[in-house]
Amino acid sequence: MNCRDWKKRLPILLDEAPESKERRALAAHLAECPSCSGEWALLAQLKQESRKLPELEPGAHVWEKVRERLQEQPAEELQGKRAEGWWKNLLPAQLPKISWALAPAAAILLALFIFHWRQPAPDVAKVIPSAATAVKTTPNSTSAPGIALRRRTPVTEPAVITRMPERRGRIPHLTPDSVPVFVIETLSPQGQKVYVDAQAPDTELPVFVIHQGRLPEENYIPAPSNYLMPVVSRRTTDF
Amino acid sequence: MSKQDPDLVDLVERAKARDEAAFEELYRRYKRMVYTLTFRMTHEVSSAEDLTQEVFILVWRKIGTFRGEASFSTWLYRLTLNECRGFFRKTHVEAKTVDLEDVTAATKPEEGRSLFRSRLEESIAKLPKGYREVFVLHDVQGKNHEEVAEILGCSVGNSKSQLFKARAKLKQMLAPYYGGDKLELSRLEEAAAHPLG
Repeated sequence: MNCRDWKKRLPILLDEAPESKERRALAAHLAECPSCSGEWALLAQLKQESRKLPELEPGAHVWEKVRERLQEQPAEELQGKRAEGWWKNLLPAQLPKISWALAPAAAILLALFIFHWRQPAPDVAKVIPSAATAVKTTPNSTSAPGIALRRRTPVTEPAVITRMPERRGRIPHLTPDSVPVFVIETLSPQGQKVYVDAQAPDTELPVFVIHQGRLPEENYIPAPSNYLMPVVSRRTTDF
Repeated sequence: MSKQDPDLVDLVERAKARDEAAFEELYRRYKRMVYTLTFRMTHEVSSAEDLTQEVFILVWRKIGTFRGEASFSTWLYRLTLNECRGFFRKTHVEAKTVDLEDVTAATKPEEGRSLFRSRLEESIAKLPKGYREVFVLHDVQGKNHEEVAEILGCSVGNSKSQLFKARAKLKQMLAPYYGGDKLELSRLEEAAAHPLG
């Protein structure tokens, strides 16, 4: 190492044990180099004197002011301010770091939410006039119930059918009660089969086709998991 | 807080239960630590006193959130440095100039106190805040890098790197007084012989 390299290492080597290999090499260099030796001496004194800097004592009036302020604040305020941090006890100590790490994800979620919120509101229309007519499965029934797409949980309430806004494209929309649905065009009962012509989006969601929301769960007809519903389809459903 | 003085544990628990006598005892024990740190960070007696006051008000308010995972002094150092950072944010003060009278008044110099120490105080005050925090905690207060990292919430490597940069910067600032012809050779050589004091 030349002088320049040694000078860069000097602040670091100050903490090395004197018997370490690098410190021994430094000692050999310092014996020959007055410039590095001067810098080393300065750093050594810097370290030595830093430890000797005195501990300082605040004036007595500082405690007086602290005490006055404690007495000025009503107990309930202090209690409230104390209580506001109680939940922090339940959180990991590294939470601030985690929070910062999650900030970009939160920003993306917020952006998605705003994008979604700015979409035009769906045209909500109650296609099923009443459960009584909708649930009928007799061949003469010509009621026009909806079918609903669901992910997991069965529909137990009559669904509000929400028309798909054109701009929303092919993504099933959630009704106000969080049930993804699409609009039924016609329902044609023939014997025990009901033909449903529906305008539906392409979707790869697990699809359940139901005849209104009043049917018991076992009557739900699950579509194949890989079912891809065409834009206009005719589904045959046994009720 | 298991490794801590049982007396301190008791004091903290009593202060959590809003025992003012216990809180006063905590103030008595830690006022120098807090004031010294705030002074070394701000280099203004009035700001250091105000900050000390604020820190202890915060201790009273937040002691209920102290879980004892870190030592009480680590928690208090953290609180103090956060207050100092808040102070710098509010006032946009970067201690670029130092009133030497303020420094000497605060430190109540003993007879024969070295000029070197005064210049060192001045130079510490001129360090960038990040360097100053690590330098004061490690080289002045005698914390090790693990403790510094815990207080500042940074890595040990970061603490070391900041410290070495701080020392290099201080060396640079002090060199005009103690480099070349002005080098107090006899004293410095003596210091070099016993660098760890």
